[in-house]
Amino acid sequence: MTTRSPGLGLFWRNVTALPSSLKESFSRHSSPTSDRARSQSIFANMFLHIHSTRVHPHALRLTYTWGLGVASAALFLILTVTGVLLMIYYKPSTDLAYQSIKDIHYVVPTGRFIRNIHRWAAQLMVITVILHMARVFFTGSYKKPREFNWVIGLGLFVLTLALSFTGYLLPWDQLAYWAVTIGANIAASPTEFTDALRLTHLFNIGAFQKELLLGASEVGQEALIRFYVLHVMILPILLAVGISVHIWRVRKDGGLSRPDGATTTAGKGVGTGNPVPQSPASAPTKTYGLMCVVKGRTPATNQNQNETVPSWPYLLRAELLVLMVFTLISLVLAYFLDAPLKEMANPAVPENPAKAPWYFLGLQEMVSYSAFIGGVVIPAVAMIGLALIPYLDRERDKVGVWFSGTAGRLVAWRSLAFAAVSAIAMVAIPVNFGWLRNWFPAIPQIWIIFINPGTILTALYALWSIYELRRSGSTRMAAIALFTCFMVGFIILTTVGTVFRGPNWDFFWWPSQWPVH
Amino acid sequence: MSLPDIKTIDQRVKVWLLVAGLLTIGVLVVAAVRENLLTDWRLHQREYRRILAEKATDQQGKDVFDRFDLRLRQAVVPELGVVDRCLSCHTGIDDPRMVDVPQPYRVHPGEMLNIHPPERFGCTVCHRGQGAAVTFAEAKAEGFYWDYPLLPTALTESSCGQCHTPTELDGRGASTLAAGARLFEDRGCRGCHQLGQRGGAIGPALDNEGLKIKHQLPMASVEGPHTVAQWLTEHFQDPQKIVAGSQMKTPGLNHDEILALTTFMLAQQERDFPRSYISPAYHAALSLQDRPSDLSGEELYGRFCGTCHGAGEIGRYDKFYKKFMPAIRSASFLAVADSAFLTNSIKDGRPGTLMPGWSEDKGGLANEEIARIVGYLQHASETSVDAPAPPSALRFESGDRDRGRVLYAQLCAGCHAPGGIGDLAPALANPSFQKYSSNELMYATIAFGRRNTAMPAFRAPSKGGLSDQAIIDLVAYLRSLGDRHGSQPTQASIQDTTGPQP
Repeated sequence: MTTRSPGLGLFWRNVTALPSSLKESFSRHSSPTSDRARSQSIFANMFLHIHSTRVHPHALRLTYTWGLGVASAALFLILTVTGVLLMIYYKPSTDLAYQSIKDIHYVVPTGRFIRNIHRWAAQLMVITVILHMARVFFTGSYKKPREFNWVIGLGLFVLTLALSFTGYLLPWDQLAYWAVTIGANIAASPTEFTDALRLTHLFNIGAFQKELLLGASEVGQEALIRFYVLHVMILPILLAVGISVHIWRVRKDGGLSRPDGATTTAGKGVGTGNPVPQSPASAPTKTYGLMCVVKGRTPATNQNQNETVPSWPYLLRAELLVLMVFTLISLVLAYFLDAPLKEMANPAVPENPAKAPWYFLGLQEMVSYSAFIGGVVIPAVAMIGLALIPYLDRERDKVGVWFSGTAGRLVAWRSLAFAAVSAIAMVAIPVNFGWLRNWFPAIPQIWIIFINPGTILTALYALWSIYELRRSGSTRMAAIALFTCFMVGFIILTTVGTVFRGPNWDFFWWPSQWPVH
Repeated sequence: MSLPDIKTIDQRVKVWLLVAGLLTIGVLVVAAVRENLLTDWRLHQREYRRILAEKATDQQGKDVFDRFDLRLRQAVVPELGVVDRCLSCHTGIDDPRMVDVPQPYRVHPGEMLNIHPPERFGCTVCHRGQGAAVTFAEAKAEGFYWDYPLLPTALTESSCGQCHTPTELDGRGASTLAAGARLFEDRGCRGCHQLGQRGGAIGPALDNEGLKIKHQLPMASVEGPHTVAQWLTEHFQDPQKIVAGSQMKTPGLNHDEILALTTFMLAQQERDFPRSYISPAYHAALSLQDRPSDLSGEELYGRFCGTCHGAGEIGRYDKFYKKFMPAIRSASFLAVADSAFLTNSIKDGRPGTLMPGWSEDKGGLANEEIARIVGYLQHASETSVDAPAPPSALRFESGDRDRGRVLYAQLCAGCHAPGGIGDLAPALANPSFQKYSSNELMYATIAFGRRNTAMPAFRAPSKGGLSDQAIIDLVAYLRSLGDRHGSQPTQASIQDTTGPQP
């Protein structure tokens, strides 16, 4: 041992140093020991770089964000991983798809568990995305400079629904087949309108849209492969890019929104909220011009370094916790509840009631009066209305405060009561007394297209918002009123469509009352 | 708006991260145990291994025990589209020693597996059920989202009919199926139902009845489990109870007969099996189409006509259909109805009424068979009829439609309904009747009536004593019904008419 040559000693040192040198080369950084080094870890990592190196501790307040944005992204990650695993066994063919799902369920190792996780994570993601949108709205976080990020978020919401809907068809069971048939018929619903105007013979846009969606006139192999490609490739790529832009813009817009003057114990003072170029005391003496894009020699952020905490480890650890919590929720759901799989798709045997996925049942409730209005016009109006909110409400005060304070809270409660009463009335009146078709059997369909519970509800909500606008003189209050109405209407109609609608879309207090066919 | 110290927050995050991490690992471990150790089939195979050890008394038994390993067992038969995992729990089906053990370890009864080895046929081809499943409840698939649940053992013979003819297996393993096939013929089911394009069109064709699924049948009144087999059974007991307003009469079958007929119905499956799976007798039956049969006219009458017409000698009121069924073997009818009328009426039927057409392309009867039926009709038991000859030289062209209409309303409409659309009595406006009946037939029927039916002889003084001219007026009116009526629903049959058109 004593006669070891220096060369061997060098080699041995390198061998023993292997774990640490591997780690360092991997992370491009040694273990950070100071806040600055931690910041550099973020900076030096492609994936973490999407975060700023330091964040205001207000962003870590659980009761402010509820972790919903990160939860949505975390669920997308879970869905990507489980989805790729499912792709290994899934066969996108009408002959083989159903059997391959059966095999995944019964014999593929962990297949049933993975499919269940995929299913429940997808449902959770729809919920978290909606809740995230509500959080961002009610804290006024869509305001300048974040207006367009709100629009991007809406796009992500639509992509989430599209991903969920395209995935719905893939098992090729009765549930899938008839839900997508309904979706396709909604796509074809402009025909109802052009029929009423006698324009269908010129250009049947409804039939065109349906064929574009299905690749054929009925749900079949073409639709399956289309939905598959959308589900496993096009939509996930769009969503991944969209999420990246969404988060990147949060960072560029100065991190998560927060109220002016949010105090912090991390630093020494009170946040100003004003973008003031800061020259951190601990910054390297050498500074850069930031590629001549930004004026000044330091990035203009509205945060003093002394008011912030390093993203590493505090933010990342909190985000990891959100990921773990939602992984755990998905796992527990997947353990106890199997993802549904009905009989193999059978075009000869319609499901009654044939229901779309639950998050579309509010729309299906309105579709039951007019497919065109309920399935196309109202969703389009709602989406455009939501997208315009940040441009029509440009009040700058009370950003980052839930409901913009007590007044907004009152408006929200009032709107909730109004929205709930009118939504329930719009369901109860047709159920108990019928609608125009029952009262005037010969009435042209065009009347029902424009005057039905869905359009009346939409009009009521718009009027209510205008009433709140006049009453308070604040666009923010009007926006709160409108958004509250939208959410309450969505929840009530979705509940009605999910729980209280049975065969032939008749009203039942409980599914056990459904007649045996 | 004061925030707790960042270190405090971070401490909380760390604790919860630990909790969430441990719980996640816990769920994963539990899931792994459930999937890898506690599945039903693994537990069953462990028990079976214990049984094997118990029975390993000789060298061969020891070898079997040594060779047995815990693994998923499945029969894969791509030709039949079968992947059956039943063998994962039914491990002893091919071991003759497994007679005194409980299910699912018991040996398959009979010689069946020698003739139909599972590696060539699988299990679900005969037993139905969900072969992909690995738990009994889901394999049985009753009340589960699966179209073809496990067949009750008593009905398993129905599956033989997929590849075999019922007759070739009579007394050779599928006597119930054969009995069902005989009942189908003997009870006149073909009078209303088509099978193999042969039979009446009153009820639905039954060629794919065995592959119907429960959602295609009204289950509301079925008392037993909601399966197709149970539906058939209860439906044979009382069709109207199961299908409100069903056109089907209660067949009046005993328990065994219902079982046999249910078995035969479940055997009706239009499936594409490779030819090598189909029995030679089945091929032969398909190629010969079993027609024209060598059945006698009387037998044919029993199978195809008797359900509605009974013996055919008296015009009987059918309480079920609420109609008088024409007495097609009554002497007074045969006296005026010639062979051509009978043949054509059988071939075309009476569109729009219960009487279906029976020609090769409609009801699947060959011309010879129809001729045999006509022959049987004409050899009615009551042969001697004092058929009064219609007065010669009746001038039908002198008939007055309007006078006829008045008479019709007074004398005929009560049974034949206004406009001759038929009610209790046959529809006189029916295009097929109009096409094939001669004026003389109408005259004779009105004048002399139909004995043993509700149709009186209207020339008799007691029934109004109609004059020849009055009857001719009536005939003229009846003919006008044909024009009016026939021009609409059955254009084709009218166009063929080359007779005089008023």
